[in-house]
Amino acid sequence: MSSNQPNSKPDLYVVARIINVLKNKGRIKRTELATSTGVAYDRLTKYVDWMNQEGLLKIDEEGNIKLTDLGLETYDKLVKWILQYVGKLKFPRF
Amino acid sequence: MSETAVVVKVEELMRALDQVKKYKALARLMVDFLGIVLLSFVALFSLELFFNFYYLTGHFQSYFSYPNILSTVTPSVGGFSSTSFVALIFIAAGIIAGIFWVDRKLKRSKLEQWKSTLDEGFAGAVKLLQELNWDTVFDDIRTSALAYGLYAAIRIIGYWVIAMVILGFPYSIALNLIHTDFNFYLLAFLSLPFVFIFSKKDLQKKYRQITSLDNLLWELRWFNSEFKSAEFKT
Repeated sequence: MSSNQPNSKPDLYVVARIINVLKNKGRIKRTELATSTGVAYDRLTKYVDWMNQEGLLKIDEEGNIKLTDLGLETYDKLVKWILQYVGKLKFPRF
Repeated sequence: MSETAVVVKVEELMRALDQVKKYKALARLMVDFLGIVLLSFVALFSLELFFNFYYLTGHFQSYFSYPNILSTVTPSVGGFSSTSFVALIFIAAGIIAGIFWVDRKLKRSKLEQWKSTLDEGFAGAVKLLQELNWDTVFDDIRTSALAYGLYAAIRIIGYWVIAMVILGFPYSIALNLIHTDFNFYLLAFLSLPFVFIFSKKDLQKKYRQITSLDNLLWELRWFNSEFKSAEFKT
């Protein structure tokens, strides 16, 4: 496990929140991202570094974080992937 | 658009699980219910003891003058007395109080605790799915179905006792007119059709809800195995 990795298995909730904020706000700083996502700064840093490594987002020289096309594509994939399973559920009427 | 669809589906799932939570609370409330019914028995026996002592000390002739303390709740075969009727009223009161208590407590169940998480949108839906403990969910569904079935059965018995109390008055008057003895079992038999007529809708609803719980269990079992075995790759 590399030190940049958030966990052995990243929390999809945190990943989804980060991508969602970046989708809506465009280019933002780490601190603002931490505030907007509600994720602790240290934890967010690990996720940002890992996502940067995976090519899901890009950090420029000024420290601004921006979502990449791959990041956006991954988010859509995640939504479709979950919908593929949840969408098939049929709930009884109580 | 797909994000909204996920949120809508997860909301449906959480609402169904809330319903399970509510029914599971029934299992705990069954203890309260039994306690209330038991209290009505204690009250009945205490009252009988009180009147028996009064009778023994020669104060006044009471209806509660049977030598056997259980005579109030165990009418002799084919026979019926005013004492047994008082017992029925006490039990009916206990059952009604128990049903009210359970209904009141059920309405106060803490539901929709997931709402604020789901308000976060798609990310919130992902969080809720991740945090679900499926083994507990399946256990809860099984317990709920059992508790709900038991509660439905107790309600029907309750309706039956109440029907007997209500029908007891016209039945006694009719028997007085034709000078025949009171028959407890005949009254119980005559009350039965009324119970089914008045609780038909309730019975159908309860049956539907138990089958719904069963269907939910199968749906979620499928979902759990598919979702867990699938691997999300970026």
